[in-house]
Amino acid sequence: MKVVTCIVALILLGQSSLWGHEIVGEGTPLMVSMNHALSFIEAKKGEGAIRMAESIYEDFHPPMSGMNHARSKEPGLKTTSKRIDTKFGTKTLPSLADAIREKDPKKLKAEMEWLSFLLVLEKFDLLQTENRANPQARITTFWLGRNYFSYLLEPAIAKADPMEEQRLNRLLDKMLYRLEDGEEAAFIVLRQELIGGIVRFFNFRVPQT
Amino acid sequence: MIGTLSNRFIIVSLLLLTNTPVFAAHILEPIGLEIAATPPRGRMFGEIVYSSTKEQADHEEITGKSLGLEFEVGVGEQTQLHFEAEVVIAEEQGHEPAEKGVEEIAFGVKHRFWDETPKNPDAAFLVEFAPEAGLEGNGSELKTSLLLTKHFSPRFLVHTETGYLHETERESEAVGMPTEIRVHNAGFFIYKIAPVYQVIPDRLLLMATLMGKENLKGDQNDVTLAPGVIFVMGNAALKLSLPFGLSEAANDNGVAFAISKLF
Repeated sequence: MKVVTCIVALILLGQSSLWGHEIVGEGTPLMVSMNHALSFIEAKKGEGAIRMAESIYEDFHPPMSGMNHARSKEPGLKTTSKRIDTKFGTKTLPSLADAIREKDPKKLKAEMEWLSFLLVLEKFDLLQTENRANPQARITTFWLGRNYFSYLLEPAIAKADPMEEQRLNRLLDKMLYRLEDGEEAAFIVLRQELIGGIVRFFNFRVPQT
Repeated sequence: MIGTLSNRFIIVSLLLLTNTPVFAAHILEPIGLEIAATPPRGRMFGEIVYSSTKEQADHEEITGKSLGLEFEVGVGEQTQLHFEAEVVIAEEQGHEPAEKGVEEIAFGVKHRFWDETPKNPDAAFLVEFAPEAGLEGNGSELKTSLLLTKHFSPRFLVHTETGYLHETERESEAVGMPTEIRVHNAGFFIYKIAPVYQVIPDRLLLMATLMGKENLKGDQNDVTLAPGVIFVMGNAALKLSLPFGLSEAANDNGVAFAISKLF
């Protein structure tokens, strides 16, 4: 019994976090904070979500940044939305600012999910311009995009339609395999299928770049 | 102030524990059942199961404790190879000395040939061979089965496993010289069905697994029902199952505890 207890303890201690979703590489502080805000909305704690969104609107010091607190500031919703709006010609920044000012959790959720989708798109677009001679860097970028999906979009899909969530997850697995195998054309086809699935579920309109 | 802080801590902890789904559907496999999902390519799923059983036979109590190990490796996009071993820690009957040793070593392959759609279930076939079965190591087993998984609502799904199991046992009998070796063959129809309810999606699952093993000759039929629970943390899961026999040949009752992890 002692052996079993030790094994359980080792495995639990080996867990990097208590997330239900496996995250490869680090989730960015913004990603994690947005996830918390969405979780608050899910738990009908709209006020908490708005407070969380306010705290990460401007560039922010991530909690638990310890010794690096004085020097490291993470891009907040404002900086990130500006970058995304410049790239895609969208208007996420004014919409997010409105949702926070109006203290409207429903609108905040919709805007955060839209921003998350654009962040996924941004990372997957980046893969097409990245140096193909460095597959490891491309895989890291892929996981960053996938993590935005996992943290911020997947929970809503899983709750309403776990079958679709499983399909999209398997599509992401296949995208990773195609990337690892250097099969660019097949990757792009799968990427389109994934985007189609997300767009259908959330009723998004893909921006023209 | 402290009260508010602790409330916040509890709320955030609950949110962390109850949010976001699991990457690997595979770790949600109930104890004692194979499901149609396979691990991602190049990843490995491992499970350790500790089980304890108690049975009444001829006014004597038979108790058993065993440790099972299972490793499944995703070798293709929808194919896995797996290795299983079961070690009996102690098996005691009445006042007889406890027996222990390797009960089974098995290798297998699973291939998922259908992905779930609104009409079709997730479907896979499994072939498993145990070259050594039984504490004396004088048996072998071959199992083929069809695995299906279907969601019936966002929170309710059913896993099934149906197939055929062939057991062979070699027995030596010293009837003069040389020793005679007798081979016994037996075929079984196996079925397992596990309705699963996701209390907290991909985090806390309740299930009841019905497991049957019907001898094709019509005797020694095992039927067991195992209510269970799975609690998921990241890419690891803790599982508990409380099997009890519904037929004479099945163990009267027991408890199984497992921990699974995707590496």
